[in-house]
Amino acid sequence: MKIAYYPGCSLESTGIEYHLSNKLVAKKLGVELWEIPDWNCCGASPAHQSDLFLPIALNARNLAIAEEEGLDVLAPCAACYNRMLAAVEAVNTDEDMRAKVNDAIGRDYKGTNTAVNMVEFLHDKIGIDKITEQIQKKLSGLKVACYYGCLLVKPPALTKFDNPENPQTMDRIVDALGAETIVWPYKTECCGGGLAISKTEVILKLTNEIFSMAQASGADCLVTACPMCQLNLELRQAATEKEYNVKYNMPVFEITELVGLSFGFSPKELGMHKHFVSTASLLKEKQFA
Amino acid sequence: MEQVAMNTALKASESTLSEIEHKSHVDVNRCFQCGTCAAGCPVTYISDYSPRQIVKMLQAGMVDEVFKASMIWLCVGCGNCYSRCPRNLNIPHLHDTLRVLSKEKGYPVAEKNVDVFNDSFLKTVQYTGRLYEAGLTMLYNTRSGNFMSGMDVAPGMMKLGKISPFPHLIKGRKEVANIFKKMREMKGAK
Ligand code: SF4
Ligand code: SF4
Repeated sequence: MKIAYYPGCSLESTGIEYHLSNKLVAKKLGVELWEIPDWNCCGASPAHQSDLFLPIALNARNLAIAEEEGLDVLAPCAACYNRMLAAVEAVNTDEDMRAKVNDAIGRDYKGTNTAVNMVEFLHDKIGIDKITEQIQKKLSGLKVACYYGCLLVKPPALTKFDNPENPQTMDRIVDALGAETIVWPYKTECCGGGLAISKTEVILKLTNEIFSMAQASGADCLVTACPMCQLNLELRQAATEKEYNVKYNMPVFEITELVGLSFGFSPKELGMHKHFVSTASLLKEKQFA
Repeated sequence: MEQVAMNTALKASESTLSEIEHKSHVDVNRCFQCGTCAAGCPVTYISDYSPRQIVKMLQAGMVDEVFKASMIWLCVGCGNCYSRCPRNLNIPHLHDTLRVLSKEKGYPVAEKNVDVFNDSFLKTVQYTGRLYEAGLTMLYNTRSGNFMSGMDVAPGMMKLGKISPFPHLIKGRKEVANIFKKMREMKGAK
């Protein structure tokens, strides 16, 4: 299988462990990730908060390059994924927008391809059976809270993926790896990512609610499929603990890190030493390292 | 009297209201004020109005108040409201539209830091084609006056080798710059 791969800006910096894990896991599964040559930033929230045309055009350029190859785009960042879907929809429903966009990008984007998120890719395109075939080490004893966040599943009218209130696909993958998924109610609560720099106090409150619920539900760690969620949840964990006088010490993994671990890759190969919340003691305790 | 005042407000704001509806594709009159959006909104606790109130104010024609509201700047676009709204109002897109129009029309920005952040972020994309984190931090800190912003986490980023001090310049940055140019032309053309 071949799919266009759009790492997005985070995966080359703050989300490097996700990038490394994706590549290793894809290779093992026999998938060719065709990185979109010379891709540009999707614009993230600043673009759609500032203009109605800009985010569509920025994403259409990347989508157009993949469309020329006849490929859909795997977007491991939930924010990029969501913005790409919005661009596909706009180009397909608004003739005027399509004309303006194509004029701006100097290409003829037709809107015939689409974006796929990482969980959807593993669950729907690859399938649990194929994943199970590659498992070398069961992640027994690891209690995982699957955190989907907002943009992977919401709004459902746009994503048409899983369920916005109680999604299951990531849980099924984690279960297949032999880990234990906990039942908890905050799978899709917002972590406030977009306000991380301009209004940090919001992040402390929202992430505190998420971690305290995960902890109360018995989780050892969280797993996400988004570098923005992952960064936001780990980066301010120490500040959150201080602000609310609590202790979480809870790493947040990307889904492909856990898949990679069960495929037999070492934590180091998967970039697990690059986390802001150390993964070392948990990996040691569960005998994964 | 109340009713008379309300009708006057509606009349005065008629063209702005139809501009909002046309650009956002959201018909605020569909809302029956159930409050589901407000209940699940993660930022209502710090904003002046809830999403339900923003919609109600638009129904009443109070466009000035809406354009000056902090809610339209604090909305993180999580989509909770839209996912649950029994009347299917795309509120995050409504807020995006209100934010854009509020700036175009010269209303004071209720949350300056959000605006400065967005602007700094996009500047780096416009010039390099991608997000340039170190550049964003410098721009944001000098322009917002929060010189120490991000400094609590910067050492950790550097130690892990996650943030490069240098930008990544894509080859197609002229194409990206052209997208921004077209955007400005369209804004000017209106
Ligand atoms: S959830 Fe929808 S119908 Fe209910 S108050 Fe909000 S916008 Fe109106
Ligand atoms: S999309 Fe905006 S208004 Fe709606 S719930 Fe999320 S933050 Fe609140």
